[in-house]
Amino acid sequence: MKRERGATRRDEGMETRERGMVERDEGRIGRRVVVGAVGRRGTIAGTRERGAMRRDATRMGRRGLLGAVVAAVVMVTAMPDALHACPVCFDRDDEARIAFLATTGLLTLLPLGLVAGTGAWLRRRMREVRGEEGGEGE
Amino acid sequence: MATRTTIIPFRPRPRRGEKLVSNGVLGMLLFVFVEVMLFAGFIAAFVIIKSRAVGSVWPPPNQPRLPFEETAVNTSALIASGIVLLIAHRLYQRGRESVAVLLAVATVLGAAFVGLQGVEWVALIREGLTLTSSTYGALFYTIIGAHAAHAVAAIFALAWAWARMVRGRLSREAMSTVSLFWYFVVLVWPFLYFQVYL
Repeated sequence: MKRERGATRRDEGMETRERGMVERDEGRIGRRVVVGAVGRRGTIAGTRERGAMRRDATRMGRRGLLGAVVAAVVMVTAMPDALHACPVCFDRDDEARIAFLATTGLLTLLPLGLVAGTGAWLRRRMREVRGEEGGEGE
Repeated sequence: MATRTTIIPFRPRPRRGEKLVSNGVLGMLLFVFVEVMLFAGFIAAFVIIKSRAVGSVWPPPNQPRLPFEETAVNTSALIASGIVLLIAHRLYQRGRESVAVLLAVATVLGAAFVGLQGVEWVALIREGLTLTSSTYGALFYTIIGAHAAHAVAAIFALAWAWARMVRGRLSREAMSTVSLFWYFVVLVWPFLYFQVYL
């Protein structure tokens, strides 16, 4: 950035800080605000910033959740229809349809079960190890 | 002459806690997961092809029936092998010096399973069930053959573990790793047996 004639580094710093404060007052969140707020009031500004970001994240989370609920309702009520290329939806034979559904369920749930089982086992193992370490420390 | 003193900043060494899972066990666990999905895919393919058989007749006409009763003997040998290995594994983990005899028994029972399966296969080929004779034959040899390949590999691993144990050089982690592989081979078999042979 080119410095204006007569302007010192300190002036530039002040200007940046003021700009940052203005933006903060407007409720905007941006890196510039954080940079500008560095100084004597850095800690307070940082805390406020974190609070604003948290509020914003909560707002975004709520919006996302609402969107997901709306999408789920639409998918459940409006979308489902028989897919003409799908052997699960279209098979005259009941046995074949059940076989398709059962194997789809198996192949969907099995990896999830494996991951969940491993997670549960690791958690139990971690507790055991921590218990042993605690016992050694006493 | 002035001596230069170098100041080395003090850095406490990070505390190394006990590992949750050994590298070998973790690697084998990942391998077993992959193989579980492979066999799940095989079973899914078998179930769907069986359900769409012409006239719902399974096994297809002019194809030999699989020897369900004879294979029950192989199955019991395999399960017995798994139980023996489980006992050996537990004893070894609890600090027993050597469980070489139990490990040898488990290996021999596993080898008996593979040997009896081989005899059964020869009889089936003589009766006309081959890899190209029908979808039934193709599925049978692919699924049961894949299991047999795993069983053979696991038997070699058990034999290796036994040889190291006899020399007193088998670590507890290595024992767990090899045992995990054999447990997988044992536990996946009943699913294949009841699905393919029945």
